[in-house]
Amino acid sequence: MSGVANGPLSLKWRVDPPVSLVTDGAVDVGTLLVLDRSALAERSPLPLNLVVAQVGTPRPSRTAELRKAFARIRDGIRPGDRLSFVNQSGAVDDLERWFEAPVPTLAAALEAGAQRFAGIRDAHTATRLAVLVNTAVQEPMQPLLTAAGVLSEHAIGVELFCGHSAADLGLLTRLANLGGGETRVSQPGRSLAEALVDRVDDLRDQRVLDVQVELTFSPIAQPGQLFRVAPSPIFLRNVRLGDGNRQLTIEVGPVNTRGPDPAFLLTTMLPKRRIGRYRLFDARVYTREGGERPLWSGGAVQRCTADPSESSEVEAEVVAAREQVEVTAWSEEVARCYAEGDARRVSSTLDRLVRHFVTLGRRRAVEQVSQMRLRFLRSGALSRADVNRLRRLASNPSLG
Amino acid sequence: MPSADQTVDLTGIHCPACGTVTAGPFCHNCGFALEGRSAVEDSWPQSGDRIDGQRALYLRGSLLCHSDGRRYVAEADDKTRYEVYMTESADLLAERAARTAALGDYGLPAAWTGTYGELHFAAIPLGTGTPLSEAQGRIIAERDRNDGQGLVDGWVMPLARAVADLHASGRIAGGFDPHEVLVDDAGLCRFRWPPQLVDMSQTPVPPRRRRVHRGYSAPELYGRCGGGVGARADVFFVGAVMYYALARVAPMTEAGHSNERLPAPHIYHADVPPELGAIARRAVSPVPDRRYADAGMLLDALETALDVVDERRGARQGPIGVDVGHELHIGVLKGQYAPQNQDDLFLAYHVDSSIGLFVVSDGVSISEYGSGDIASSCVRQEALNGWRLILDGHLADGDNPDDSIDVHDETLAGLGEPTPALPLDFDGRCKFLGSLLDQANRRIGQLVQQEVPHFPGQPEGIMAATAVTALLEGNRVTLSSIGDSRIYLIRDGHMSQLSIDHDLATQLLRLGRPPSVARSFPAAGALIRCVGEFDKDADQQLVPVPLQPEFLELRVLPGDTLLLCSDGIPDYGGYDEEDAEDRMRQCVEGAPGAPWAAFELMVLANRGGGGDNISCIVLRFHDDGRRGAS
Repeated sequence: MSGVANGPLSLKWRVDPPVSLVTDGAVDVGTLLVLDRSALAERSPLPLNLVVAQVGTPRPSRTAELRKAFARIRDGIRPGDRLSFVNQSGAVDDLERWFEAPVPTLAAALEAGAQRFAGIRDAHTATRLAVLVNTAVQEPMQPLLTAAGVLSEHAIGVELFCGHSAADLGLLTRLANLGGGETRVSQPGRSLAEALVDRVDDLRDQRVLDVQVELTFSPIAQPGQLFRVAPSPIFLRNVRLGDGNRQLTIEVGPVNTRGPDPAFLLTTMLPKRRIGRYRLFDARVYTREGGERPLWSGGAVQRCTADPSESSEVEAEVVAAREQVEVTAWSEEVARCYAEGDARRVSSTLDRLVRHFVTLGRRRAVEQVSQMRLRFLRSGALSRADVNRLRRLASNPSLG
Repeated sequence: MPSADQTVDLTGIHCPACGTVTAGPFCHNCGFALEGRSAVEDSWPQSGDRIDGQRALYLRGSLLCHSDGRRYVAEADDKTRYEVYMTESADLLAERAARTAALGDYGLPAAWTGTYGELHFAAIPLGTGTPLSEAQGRIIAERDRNDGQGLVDGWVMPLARAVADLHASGRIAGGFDPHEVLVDDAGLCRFRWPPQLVDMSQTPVPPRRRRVHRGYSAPELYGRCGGGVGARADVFFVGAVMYYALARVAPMTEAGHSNERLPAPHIYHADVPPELGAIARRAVSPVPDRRYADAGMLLDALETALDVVDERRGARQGPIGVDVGHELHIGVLKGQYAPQNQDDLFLAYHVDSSIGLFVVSDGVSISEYGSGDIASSCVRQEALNGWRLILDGHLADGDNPDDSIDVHDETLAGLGEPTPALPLDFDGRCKFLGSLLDQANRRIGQLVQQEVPHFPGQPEGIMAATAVTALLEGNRVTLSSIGDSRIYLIRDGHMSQLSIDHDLATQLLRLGRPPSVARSFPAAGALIRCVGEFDKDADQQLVPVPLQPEFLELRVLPGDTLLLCSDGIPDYGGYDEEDAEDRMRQCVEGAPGAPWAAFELMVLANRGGGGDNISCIVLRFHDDGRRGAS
């Protein structure tokens, strides 16, 4: 690894296999990219401008908890921070009124947020729109993606808090990730209100705005799938680079000093190569405040050898990360195949997930997915709540 | 700087890897590093050089070095072999010495240390041991002359004892290098390059960059199965050495995969004792939690199994008590879309003579002519006819059955007291069981031909069935199998498959294809042998093909349980084959009697989905004086 640092962030990576055997032919390389934040603690947290919207009415049992959560968030406001609540008619000062008149659709919530932020262009303030989703979100996908894309272009990150078991978590994750945001759900032993407070604490500790990692590949490299490994594993997307554009941009989002270093896993297919050293990609780290000047730049190199003993090393951390995150891609595959009516593939992917959880020693996940598969075999049906349960199991290794 | 073989022109450099004209430190097309490597002055000794010290040593070759420095094989004047470890840092020599000392009797300490110019070296006498990797090559080369049990005694037990001692002292190695483990003729195991031992309290060791050995390293060493490394990674290594010794095959890359279980070793060599095969397979399980917790437990299991193997080999024919249970069920899910149960059973036991015949048959569900339930009932019908022959005493030596025997009810009418008898020799019993299956085959052909006098289609479309058979006489059991129904032996917490699946995947494995290739082959699960095989003559008449079942003879001991079942149980009894076998074993061992065990097995398969018909016969052997079948 080599690189030039111009700021408080740098990029580390590990490549598996570290040394490729030329006789193996084409090779599937896994790269674990970790953003090193060790120099970030010296910076002070940035001011936060947080706008909160809500889609649908929360369950009465949840409202009391959310009131307490917002009270805690208000108590934690520092000089320079702004917290506002919006509904369809604009900003609402009274929290009770805000609870009583939620926004009917997610698209409307994104629109209301965009209006609230209109005209604000402060390069040194974190601007985030938090949306509590209390409905199943039965809206067309494209307008939502467009609205989230517009917010992202204006450097407004979207944070989604999903309180409905049948909401399409795959879509919500995609929307939030456009601007490096998160989708949080309630977990066993952790309510949605707690997840909200926790995420706002993250945002308040933000030291660098909207970090992007830009990777430039050589024409022979074919990037495959991109995952986020930390802070929680999610499948980001299948990467398709055109001949003219060899760049991949990863939206890291707000970076703070809490929790594990943000980490991403990228799979890349490389053709058979001869003996030598090869540049896998050039990497640059940018932030909004840094503009065009990269905070860090460097390049990853892999060696090819004909000696099997030299190629017998593995980067076990990359393989372990890969096994953890691949389940997130498979859970999305289940959702996709079910939507397409491909029952055989749904069944085989669920079976594959069961076996994978078996090898990871995640017994509770094994039991749950196995029961889900049996139910599907007997009834031919999966609910959206089932698919969401799969996604939660995949993205939260602590769930059994 | 470009190296000499690179062509320089005015616009840039021709990349030697892809031919593109490029510039800069890396090719813009393929990423090849264009900077030449600076020549490093090599001050290290070469093969043939002499190293002076306590004795003069002549370097004969090099070894892979696991640390900074180089390793050589050297010889003294009297041909004594040494290893020379040479390094720039004296600290590394001290570190190696400390690691060797930590191994106690299993380490190879340096005889002396010295310097070679600026370099430091240690000379280590190698003794007479052979590295496991070399031994493996010899075992494969002499695969037909070696027997599995002898190899386990000679190679595996010393290694298992050494690793068990390490674990007993609270340390693990986290995998070994087969090139560095030496076993000598006296049964002593030594580690040529001392592994870095880790205290068990510090396990699991998190994933990191490490060297792995294809075929011998556990999946978690690669980072799979969560990546945490503990004592079970060492158990895997011992299990892998044992597995290759039993199967007498080259190390398999699939051994490091988390989703590939190694095939049962007896498919490569039929003489593998089932107890040892089961231990090897458990030790190399791709799921760490399913392996033995440490090498001590593996060693205990091995010692018990070797005793049982000896006892089984030395057992004389004699009486034994048997408890019998059976179940036949359509399968809850299978029954929803195929209301006909295509499995069938036959059970018969003659108490006075201790002779029994037990058959499980599974009809093939997809057939153009006839159906699987008719095919499996043909097998049952012929088993009944065969049983009548046994009762009638027709099978006693000198009254040899052959394919011409066609028994009908009328032939048995008016016979006197039955005097059950079986052929004495193994071949005679195999011939009897083979003739049953051939008769069933013929019967299937006759049924089809009655419906279709001039058979128009492909013989592959004719109804067919699998069959597993146990012919019992006291403690002597002759087993036959054709198709993919199973026979298992359950004993001492282990379950081993005795039958060989006659499917395409297993056939490819036996032909030497790697497991990952064989199992992903198109139609890998297709049957290649079954009851229902025919050719067609010029008159469109079906000609039965002589069947080729597998046979095996076994002396059962008190405490053994034999399970004959269709694939509906192992396919649906657990999350995967290994889990299903473990649950089946628990059902059988935990049940108070054979009928209970059979019922539990049926429930197990239905709980797992019941996607196939379920049939099983459980034979539990005991010596408590009770005889007869329930």
